[in-house]
Amino acid sequence: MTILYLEPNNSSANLLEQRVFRLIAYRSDYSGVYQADNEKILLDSIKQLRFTSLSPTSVQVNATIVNEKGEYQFLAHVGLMNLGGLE
Amino acid sequence: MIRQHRAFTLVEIIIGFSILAGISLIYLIFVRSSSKEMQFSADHLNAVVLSQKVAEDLIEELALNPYGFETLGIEAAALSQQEVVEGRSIFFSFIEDTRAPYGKIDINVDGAIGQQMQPLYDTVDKFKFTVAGRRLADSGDNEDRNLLQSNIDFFWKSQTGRGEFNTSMQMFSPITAKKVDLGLVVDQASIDVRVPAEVFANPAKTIAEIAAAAGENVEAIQALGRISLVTRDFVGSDYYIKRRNDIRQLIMRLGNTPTSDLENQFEIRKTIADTWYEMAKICFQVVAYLEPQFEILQAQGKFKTATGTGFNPIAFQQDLFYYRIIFEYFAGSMVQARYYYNTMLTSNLIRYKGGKVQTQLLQKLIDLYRIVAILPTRIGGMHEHRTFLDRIRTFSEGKNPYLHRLAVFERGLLDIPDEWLKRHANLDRLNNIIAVRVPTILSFIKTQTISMITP
Repeated sequence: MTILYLEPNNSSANLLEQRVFRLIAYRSDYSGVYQADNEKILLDSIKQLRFTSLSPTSVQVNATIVNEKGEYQFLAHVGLMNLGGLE
Repeated sequence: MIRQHRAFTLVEIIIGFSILAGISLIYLIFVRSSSKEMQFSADHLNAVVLSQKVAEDLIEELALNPYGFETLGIEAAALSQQEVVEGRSIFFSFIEDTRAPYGKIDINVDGAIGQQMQPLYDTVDKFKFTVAGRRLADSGDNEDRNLLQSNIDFFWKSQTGRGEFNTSMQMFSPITAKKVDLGLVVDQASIDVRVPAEVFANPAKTIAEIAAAAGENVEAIQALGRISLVTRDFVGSDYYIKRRNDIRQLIMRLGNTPTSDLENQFEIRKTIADTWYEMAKICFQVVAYLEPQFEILQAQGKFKTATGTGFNPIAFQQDLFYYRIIFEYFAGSMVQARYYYNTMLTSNLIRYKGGKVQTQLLQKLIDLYRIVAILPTRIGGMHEHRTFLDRIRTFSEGKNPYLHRLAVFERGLLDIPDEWLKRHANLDRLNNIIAVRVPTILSFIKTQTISMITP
């Protein structure tokens, strides 16, 4: 199971003088023990992350990321696997 | 000692400045071009991301509706350019739910990339795009008919001129009829062997000899034999009665399952619905397999007298009635399956199972409503389908644009029944049997059975 979560990135926040977050993907192996190798930082300084789901098989992501030069916002449409039927 | 203070000559200064100017110019050109390249790369990346959004929309639309290009207004050739911002394109009209009432995007006031959505608006404002799509084959019954080709082209003005990003993709969304061989449902050869003994009580003779003795056509006798044996076998097999008993048990289990046990409430209803559906399928296969046999019987059978054709008229009457009963089993099972799938959509169950199951259920139910709509014995079937689509339309508006467009499209097609059937090849094939041939067969059965018992 892979979980996505945000955690405050305080070092970047101090540098950028605004609150930013890291987007982290962590693959859990159900051992109950934290494994550093299973953690992957997807984005380092996110200002805002919004999700809109228009159907059960997709998610639209509206992300604003920040760096020293300014802000960059982008849209992404993530299709989820729609395998199988009612069976 | 006199120190000599040598100054730069004018020539030296001019040369020095020239060299400095040359170096500065090269540096400026380098900085400017790398800045342009960076801008171009950023635009290119944005075009890739936006293009992917359009591609995902196409995939979703076509997964739900094989006529998705029509609902999205896409034609074989890209006629006009679309814009990303201000909701000017159907692909970018449901971006975010930013206004109350939340949970529903009203595209007249919400959902678009507006100027308030910064810095996104300024980033994507420059992009224009075209989408073209077509089926690989416009007609026919081959694999290419089920494959779709689409080209998505993004354009933008950049400091280096004009940027362009092109994507081409192929998708699968079937519209041809499923390949079904109804002959596989019944072991025809073994049925034919049994006909002389079991239908005509004459094991020593062949069908041809029985036909000659009865003054009937060989094909008519063979068709009659197949109708008799297949219907008797089916009714005698207890298949239907056994399944009905299974369902009775399941309904009792459902009654004893607490409403708070959502998992079992859902699963038992699903098993009941699936069992009814499976029964409907088996009954339909028998009805469809025998339909051509009735065609032969109607075209070639003489049936002049009750006894003149050499077979038992009472048994004949009974076999024809069996066919009628099997058809009624089919229609009834289909309606029951639809009912139980519908009960799985109740809010607490579907909240428990989630949106993906809900969509799958709705797709299944649309198929069942379509079939019930063409049943000659279900007068209100078409009205029920319309009402169901209206419910989906209301429920999905502003929430699931793909489903909403499907419901609106299907609802529109129902006003042109011929076109509706033409668009759904499987349904059209069912319609030819259920709505066109079966009423004729039932009328034939009625006529024949009345003449059998009325001298």
